[in-house]
Amino acid sequence: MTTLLGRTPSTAARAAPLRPEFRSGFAPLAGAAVLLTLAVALAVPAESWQGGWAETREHTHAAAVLLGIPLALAAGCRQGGRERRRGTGDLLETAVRGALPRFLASAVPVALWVAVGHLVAAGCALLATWYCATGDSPYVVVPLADSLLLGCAALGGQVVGRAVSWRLAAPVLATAGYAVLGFLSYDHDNAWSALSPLIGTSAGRVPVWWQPWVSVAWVGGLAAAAVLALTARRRALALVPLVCATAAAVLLVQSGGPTRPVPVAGRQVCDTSTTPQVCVNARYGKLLPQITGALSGLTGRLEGVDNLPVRFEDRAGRPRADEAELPMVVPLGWSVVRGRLTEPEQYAWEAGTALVGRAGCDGLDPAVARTDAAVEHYLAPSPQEKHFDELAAQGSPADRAELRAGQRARARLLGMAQDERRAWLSEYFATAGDCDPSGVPAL
Amino acid sequence: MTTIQVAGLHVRHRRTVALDSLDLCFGRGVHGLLGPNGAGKTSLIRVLATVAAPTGGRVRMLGEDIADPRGRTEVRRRLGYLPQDFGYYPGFTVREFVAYMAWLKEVPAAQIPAAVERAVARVGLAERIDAKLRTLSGGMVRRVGIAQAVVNDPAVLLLDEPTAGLDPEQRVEFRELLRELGASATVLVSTHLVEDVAAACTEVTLIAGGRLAYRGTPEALTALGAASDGVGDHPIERGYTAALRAHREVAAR
Repeated sequence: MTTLLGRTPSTAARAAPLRPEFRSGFAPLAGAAVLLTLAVALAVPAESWQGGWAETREHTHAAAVLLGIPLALAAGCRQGGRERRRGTGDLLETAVRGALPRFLASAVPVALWVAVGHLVAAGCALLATWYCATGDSPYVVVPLADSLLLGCAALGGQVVGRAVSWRLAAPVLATAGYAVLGFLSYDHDNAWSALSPLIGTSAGRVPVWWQPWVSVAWVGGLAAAAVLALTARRRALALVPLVCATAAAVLLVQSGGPTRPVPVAGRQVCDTSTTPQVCVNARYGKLLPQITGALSGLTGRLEGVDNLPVRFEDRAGRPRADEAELPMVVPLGWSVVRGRLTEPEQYAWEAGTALVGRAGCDGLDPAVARTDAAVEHYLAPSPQEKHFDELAAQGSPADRAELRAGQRARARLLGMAQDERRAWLSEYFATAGDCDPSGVPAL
Repeated sequence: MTTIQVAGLHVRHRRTVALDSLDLCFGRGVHGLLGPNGAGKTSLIRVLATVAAPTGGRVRMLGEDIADPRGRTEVRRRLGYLPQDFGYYPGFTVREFVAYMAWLKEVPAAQIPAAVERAVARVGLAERIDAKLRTLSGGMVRRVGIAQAVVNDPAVLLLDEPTAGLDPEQRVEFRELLRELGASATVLVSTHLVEDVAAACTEVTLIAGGRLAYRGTPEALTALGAASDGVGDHPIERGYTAALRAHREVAAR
């Protein structure tokens, strides 16, 4: 056997001894697993969030918490059992370095890779929304905090993996984690739900600035306490992070999962050049030209008509007396997919029915219903109108008679001179929303 | 000079007594630890390696009491250990694994690269230093185990079955390495291969039933074999069986 005294160590030899823990082995695989899981979970209903920053935040956050955390727990747990599986326990027991550095040497790479896997997935989701964003702005605090949560979960999982010598520990821990998260997150009226890392927000509300960080302190404190209880020479040290976690938990429970309204969600952007004006929630402000374009036929036919609502509005709650409700663009994935209106004709028809405003009337007079349908046909016909006409034509004699009456009403409205129609429509819209048939002009 | 002092060492595994009031001391040199299966060799090595705590008795190594956490840490700094079941990370290269062990032993960071190359060269794996451990044969993995044990130039080296899996040529080279290490350190080698002991050890300790059965030089054990009716093909094997029988006869009285 030879000696190599005097030989210059190669570049690789100079590398940090812990680099292999980061570069090879299970840690990068764990990160890839998190990335792949979140990518699949996000990609399958991509149209339901892509294009909306709030929707993107909601989906990435829910996927990170409900799928990422159990996966991180399982990954950490598996890594925690490594020394037992590899039979390196005796060897490591003779190390000069204490149990805590030894633990961190194998746990931190997994936690880091898991966090990186999530960050990449969340970053890709943000990029996927960025190119077709409809307004608003990204919320980077939530995905950053989620990455830390996943890292903490991986550390906690590693503690369990070290302590429990059971082959099924990792999947059982992941399942238990999912169950606990589901239990905490399911009922937002439950006081304990504030302890769930899953923030109960809507598109119009975001957590207050400190909420994600306190949530990280809560979960991270528990993980740190578990790590110190397992590895620290003075186990009482575990009380320090435990106290921090408890304080964070108390703060979360007492504040009840605090959120605040997003200022932009209460604003509208409007095109005032049309009649009625078209206003869109500022969160989807970039859709305004498309929506105005889709409604251009309708608004063009209403030029000079009186008694119309001042504007189509897009706010939370019911429209004011002089407003009509703009057809919903949310939830994304229906009317709007990746920043595009999918069916402008359908959208325009829905806007027309909103102007007529008799959807809430029970037992509407057939003549009034026929008149409303003729007006809708004139303003923006339904893409399904032809289909329903064909069905009626093949239906009972009553259906066919009603179809003929409806077609006559449409023809009468279309056959009017422009000034006559304008006057008739002004008289008609004066009765919009009125369920009493006596005042509605007939066709 | 005595580096390891064992007094009244008692180790119990549940209801089984592994070591029973053992008194031993070792100095610089290569010490062969012989004994039948279940004699307590591995239990002794694990206690000396600070892996297992004894049930009773005292162990002083390198002037430190290993029952004291601070003393134990100081001992570990100057200790090399190859367990009987050597565990490793298959995805690591030889260099990475030995460097990782050096880091765990708190070898100064600047010295790790050279120490790793030196240790790997000592076990004859310089050509495979950047090979993944999963690609190595069983004998090569065993040599990696020896490399990690010597990476910190230990003052006490504990090797549990180090030649298991080595081919005859490697065993001859390993004996040479043992002699080299024994010149400056206390090397305790637990083995079943008495010819290794005859070739490389300066002293032999025979344990049976958790008790000391024989202590002497390999030459004395060989002489015992020549003068007695022990079983074996080699004089030292006959000496081993004769010493064992004598111990059992005394224990049976």
